[in-house]
Amino acid sequence: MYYLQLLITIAIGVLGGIFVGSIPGLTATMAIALLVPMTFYMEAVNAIALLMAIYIGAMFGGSISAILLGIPGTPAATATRIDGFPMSKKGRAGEAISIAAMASFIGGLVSLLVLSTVARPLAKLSLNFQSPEYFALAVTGLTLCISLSSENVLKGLVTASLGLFLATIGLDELVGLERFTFGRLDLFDGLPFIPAMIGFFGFAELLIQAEQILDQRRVAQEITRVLPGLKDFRAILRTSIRGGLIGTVVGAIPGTGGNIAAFLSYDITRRLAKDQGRDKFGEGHPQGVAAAESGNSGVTGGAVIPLFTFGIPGDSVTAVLLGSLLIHGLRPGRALFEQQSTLVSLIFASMLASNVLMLFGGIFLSRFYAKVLSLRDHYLVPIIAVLSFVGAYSIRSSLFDVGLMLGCGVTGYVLTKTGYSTVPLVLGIILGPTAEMNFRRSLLVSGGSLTIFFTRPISLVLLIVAMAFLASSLIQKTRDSSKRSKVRDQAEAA
Amino acid sequence: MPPPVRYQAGNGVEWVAIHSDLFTAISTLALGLMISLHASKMPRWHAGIPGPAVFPLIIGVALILLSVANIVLSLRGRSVSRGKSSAKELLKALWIAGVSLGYSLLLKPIGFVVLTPVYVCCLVAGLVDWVTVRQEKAQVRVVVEMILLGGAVTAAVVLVFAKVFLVSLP
Repeated sequence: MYYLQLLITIAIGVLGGIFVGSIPGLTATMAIALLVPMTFYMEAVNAIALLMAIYIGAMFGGSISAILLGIPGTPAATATRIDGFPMSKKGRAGEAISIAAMASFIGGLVSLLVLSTVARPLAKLSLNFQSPEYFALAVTGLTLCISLSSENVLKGLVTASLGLFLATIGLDELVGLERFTFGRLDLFDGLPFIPAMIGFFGFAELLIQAEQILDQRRVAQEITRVLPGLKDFRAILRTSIRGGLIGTVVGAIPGTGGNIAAFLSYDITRRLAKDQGRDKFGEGHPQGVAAAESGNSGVTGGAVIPLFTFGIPGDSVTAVLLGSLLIHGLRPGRALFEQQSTLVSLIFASMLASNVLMLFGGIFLSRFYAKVLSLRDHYLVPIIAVLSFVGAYSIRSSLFDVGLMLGCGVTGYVLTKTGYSTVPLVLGIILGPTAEMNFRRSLLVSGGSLTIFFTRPISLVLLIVAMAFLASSLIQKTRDSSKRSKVRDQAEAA
Repeated sequence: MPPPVRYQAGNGVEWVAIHSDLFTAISTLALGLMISLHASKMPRWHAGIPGPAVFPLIIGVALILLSVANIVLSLRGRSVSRGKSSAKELLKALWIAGVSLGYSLLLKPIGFVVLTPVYVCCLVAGLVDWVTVRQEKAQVRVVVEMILLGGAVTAAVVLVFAKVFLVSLP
């Protein structure tokens, strides 16, 4: 009975995730952020399984609108559009969706296999970690995220600092003094994470989407044949396995995400194609769809690796997942695998079930999703808005949290519009307590000397990696900025 | 590479769009100063333990330095913002933010069940392009749809949160 309940929860999550992913503008992060308060009342396994199912479903769902409308449902489906939409225009929309579902399934399966093989040994590695290493790990996770998710590194550093600051609000854990609460009792336990996250990922995104509302029904391509031929299936198998591996590796690097993985997988597949086949990419090549979709679905397992082993989220979705793990009293790392091994196994099994359900849902419900795409945007916005309010309120039944969500939403909107990514901010809020506590504990051990971070090998290596990433992306982005300025000056002179 | 659009200071929205980078950088600078000032009043060492001031002080100083760099880049026109909004687009976002603020303030005195359908209708009314919905029949359809949506959303939330998860709604 319990497993049936879990399976139903996963099915709801997968179908909901596909729905959310297929609607342009609605992202997996937004859906998960809005649903986290609901999972607060569930058992830990069901809660994590539901959120993972939404993640897996949404990653595939983005391909449906990319194929049928030519508008990627999620940023991760941008590469799918390159060959998916031309296939659709040739009357092969159903086949393209099925190929996307199969590739997503294979990609997800490969990443799950890697996750279940690598996670436990990696978690054991954390035995060698003490305060300086944990501090260095938090810094590395944050800097990787800034380097890879922000268009402007300086702005990424600003939002990460803002996140770290927000994490200091409340009673100091070590000495019990209040900080930045301004006398408000609501802030004594720290900044409520869930309302803030709903604000930054849900309400802010809603405001951005509202600007781009289309006041007309979208017209989707018609679906005729659903299943691809055996020849196409054979061709996509190897591509999908490769894409899954690429997605897993990319996903395991904090701050990357499905978009980078999909493009990388697509590019490698195109390069590896024989000369004649290479020309067909971009004109509706099934392998193009498979490469992109397996790449982005491979991220789902990859992003979970640093989350479960070290407590460092791989992307914005896993950042929200980490929040959910903490809500249920689960601390990632070695202890999670040793003390909660049944729970971890159940989560892995639920990820497998999610991938299987996504495969069948993707293939056999594609006609239904094509109809869903004709939903008008101005009916979706109020639903998301109400869910944001209810989600923020439901955790502590507090109207202060509602105001906080609204404030974070408007701040997130302003920051996003001015080129500041909110992902490092949320990651800063999550990693802030880990970074601060371990920083201060390290100073306590070393008697106030910062050399402790540079005399321990693991800590030193992690900090060097962090600095190297930050410096290289700072140089790269400064060069890009100079090029843009030159182009602009030339255009103005002309 | 297409040349980035440089806005001419024509109307208020464009003026705000041009200077939004600068305003944001100044705001983060002010926040950095506030954090540093506030943290400087906290103990740096407390009973032999690195005190609560240490981490916020580092963050405050970092924020000040980064904001100054962003101000300089913004003044030199080197900072790039994500797509600028037109006045019409900005109004839609402002409408949602304004109506949502009103909703959050009135939730307690009026109550969730009564206020939510009104909130949903207000949001839809602000987002529908009434100029394109000219025919009276079509306008009536939109009004009926938004009333139904308001009722359905409220009923669904009450059912899931209040009845299933036993959350007390305001």
